[in-house]
Amino acid sequence: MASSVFSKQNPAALWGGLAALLIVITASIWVIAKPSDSQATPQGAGSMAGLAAVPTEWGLGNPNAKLRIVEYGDYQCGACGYFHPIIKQIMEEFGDDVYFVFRHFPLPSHQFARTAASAAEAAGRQGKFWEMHDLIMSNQAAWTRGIPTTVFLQMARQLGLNDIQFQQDLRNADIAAKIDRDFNSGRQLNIPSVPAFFFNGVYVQNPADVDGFRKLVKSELGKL
Amino acid sequence: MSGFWRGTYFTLALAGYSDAVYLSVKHLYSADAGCLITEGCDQVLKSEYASFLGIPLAYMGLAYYLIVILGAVLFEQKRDEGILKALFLVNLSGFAFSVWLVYLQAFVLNAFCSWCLFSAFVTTSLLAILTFRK
Repeated sequence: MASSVFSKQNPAALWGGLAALLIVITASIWVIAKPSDSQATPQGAGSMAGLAAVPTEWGLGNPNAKLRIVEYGDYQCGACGYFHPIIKQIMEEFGDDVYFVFRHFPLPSHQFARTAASAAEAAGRQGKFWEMHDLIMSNQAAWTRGIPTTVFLQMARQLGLNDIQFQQDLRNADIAAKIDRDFNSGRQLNIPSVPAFFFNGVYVQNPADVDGFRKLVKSELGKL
Repeated sequence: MSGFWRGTYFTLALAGYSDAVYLSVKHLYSADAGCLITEGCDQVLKSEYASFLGIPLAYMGLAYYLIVILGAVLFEQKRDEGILKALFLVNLSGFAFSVWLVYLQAFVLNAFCSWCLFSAFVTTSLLAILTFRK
């Protein structure tokens, strides 16, 4: 057994051995768990050049901004929810310098993600895409349990949308096709995970927090 | 405590420590700041509950298992029953914390993080060994 390795008679060897053991464990796990550079930039997920522009997309901010950030996101993804307030803060801080575009990438493993995307699009048809986007993102816990369509309907009412129209649009074929288009473009770009961010068409690895995001935006704006 | 159980206790503590190192490195690099296309979502590690009083739980786990390991080795050296009692209290608080975290995963987040569940399992085993020690 591991403890019998240590000698009671020799405390120096005991503690020295323990320190060595802990260092070896820590270092090996560090090397294994640390993201490698090849993971950080997956092959193919490099550039949007050559990809057909997605028509009628949802953009926030100044469309003529120097920096255009595109997010591929999934409403049921906790990490997308995590980045939501970060994006809002970035948009506030950088104002006219940044244009933000959201594209749907509902993971097949998230059973409600597609319905959520439809709800945002349905609200968009009544001019409230970003309002719905905010509600869905900031209330992930509320609708991922329970019955999402009921919660989305409540949100639609909260935004003063037309009930019947909203419910019809949830099943609208054009909206479904638009979500498919977004999803397929993400597939073509070979994104490794959601959210996936593209700065002026180039994939960037997700920063850890708002400070990291701010730094990325600054360095990107500095290059222009 | 027999040599077998002391060895098991120490090995489990090392396993818990390794788990905490893994989670800490992941936290440090935020490698899980996304939902993988193939593996789904790591929403537990990005939830508001991944930190307690502003300290990431992964780092707290690291400190916790270090204390347990140091305690176990200290006992190996001194054979003082008081060390086991102190370790028992440490494991008891670790266990209580784990119960809370598993509850959060099951009923609040509706998502499980296997590395966190493993830590809960280790802590429970550590407590069990000290509770039923002879």
